[in-house]
Amino acid sequence: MRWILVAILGYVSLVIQTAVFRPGGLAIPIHGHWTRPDLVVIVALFIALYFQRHEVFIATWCLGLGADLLSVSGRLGVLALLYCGLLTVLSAVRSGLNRAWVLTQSALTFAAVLVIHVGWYMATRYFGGAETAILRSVEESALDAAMTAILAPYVFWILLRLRGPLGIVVEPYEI
Amino acid sequence: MAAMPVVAVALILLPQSFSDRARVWAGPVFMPLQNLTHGWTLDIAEQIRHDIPARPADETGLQGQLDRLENALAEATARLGEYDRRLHDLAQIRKALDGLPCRLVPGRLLAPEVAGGRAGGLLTEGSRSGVSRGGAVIARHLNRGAREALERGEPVLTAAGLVGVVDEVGPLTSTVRLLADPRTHLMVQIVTRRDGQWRPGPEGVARGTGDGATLSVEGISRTSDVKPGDFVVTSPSSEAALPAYLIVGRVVRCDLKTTDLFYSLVAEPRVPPAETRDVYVLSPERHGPDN
Repeated sequence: MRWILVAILGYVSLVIQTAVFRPGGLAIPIHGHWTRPDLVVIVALFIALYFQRHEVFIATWCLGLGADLLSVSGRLGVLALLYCGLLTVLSAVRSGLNRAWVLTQSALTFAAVLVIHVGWYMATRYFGGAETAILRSVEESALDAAMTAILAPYVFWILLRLRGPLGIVVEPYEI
Repeated sequence: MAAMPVVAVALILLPQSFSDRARVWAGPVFMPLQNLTHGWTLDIAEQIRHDIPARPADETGLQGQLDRLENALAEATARLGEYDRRLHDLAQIRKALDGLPCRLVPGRLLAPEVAGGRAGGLLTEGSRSGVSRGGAVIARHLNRGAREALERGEPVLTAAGLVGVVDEVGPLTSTVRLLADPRTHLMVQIVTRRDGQWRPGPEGVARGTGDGATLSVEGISRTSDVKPGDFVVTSPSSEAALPAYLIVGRVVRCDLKTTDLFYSLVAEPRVPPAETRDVYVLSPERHGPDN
């Protein structure tokens, strides 16, 4: 039941990400870049902070692969590798973090989106035979990361409402 | 669990065409909900754009407003030009069809780079879209499918002539087999113009050469009067699969060896397939049970 719910959550976030936050939809053009929040990273980060560590690896890998399948270009597997690599490391150090704090959620989201997007942009440009354009990649990723960081506490709040069916154990002060 | 990163690395190392194909396969899993959600989003986005109040009209504001209006005017003029062109194309095709019981389904060919991926791949090339390194485009994707009741084998054309035929019909998109595809075989007729007079010429079979740019026409007897510049049109024969007299291309080379019984003709499609975007699918009129 729990994994089915996680799969549904992943599916819905992937669909919303690609259907809602797209050019012409709710993405915002800034300096020629369609800036949009990355809902899938928020869901993956939530899993990394609240799920058991051995589950984080599988869930984030699958989410990454889903994001790979729905991205418009680049090789499959890049996002899967970035998601499971980064978020497993984050999951390992989460005991030192106050995950209920809004600022922590935003800061972690910002960092995760920045790293994942920069990695993806550069890998995609590299495999496509284009210049890696690091500065441009960082600038575009930072815009996405900032927007995602603003949205993250609200999504975390909604996801924490589902803690029962998701089987997450949280301290009372975290709600 | 340890195998998962290895799988990811293996996926990364596989050729780009595999990633493109996987994305095409995965499309139907996400597409129904995506289409539904996207429709709502467009409505919401439109609503938000209308609800944003205009800035107050001080001196700078007036200049800004003027700029915006000029931009809107330029955009509207461009759109009007496009609609005008479409209308002109439609009128021309309708006139040429001369009362044939058929309907024209307007569509748009997706860019080859786009067709391999899902929506707008910038760096991808996919064998499914007919693109290969150093190869030629012989198939394109069309943004119309079974939803518009398209069927396999229906001709795809512009006002300038035939582009190809519908090859595979998906729910929302189709593949168009272009004229230059070696699998394309058409019964054609040569139309000549001598001394200002148009004359129907011999009939033959046109077949794509696979180079993405030309067709070879076979079966034209050596006694025929054929020259470079003559038109190639679809055959009026009742055995032909396509409607008659759709312009296929023009003869560009006309070789004949002394021992040959038939001309070796090379024709160039009238419509350059790589640059074509707006097309029409000629589909038979379908009447419902009430009609």
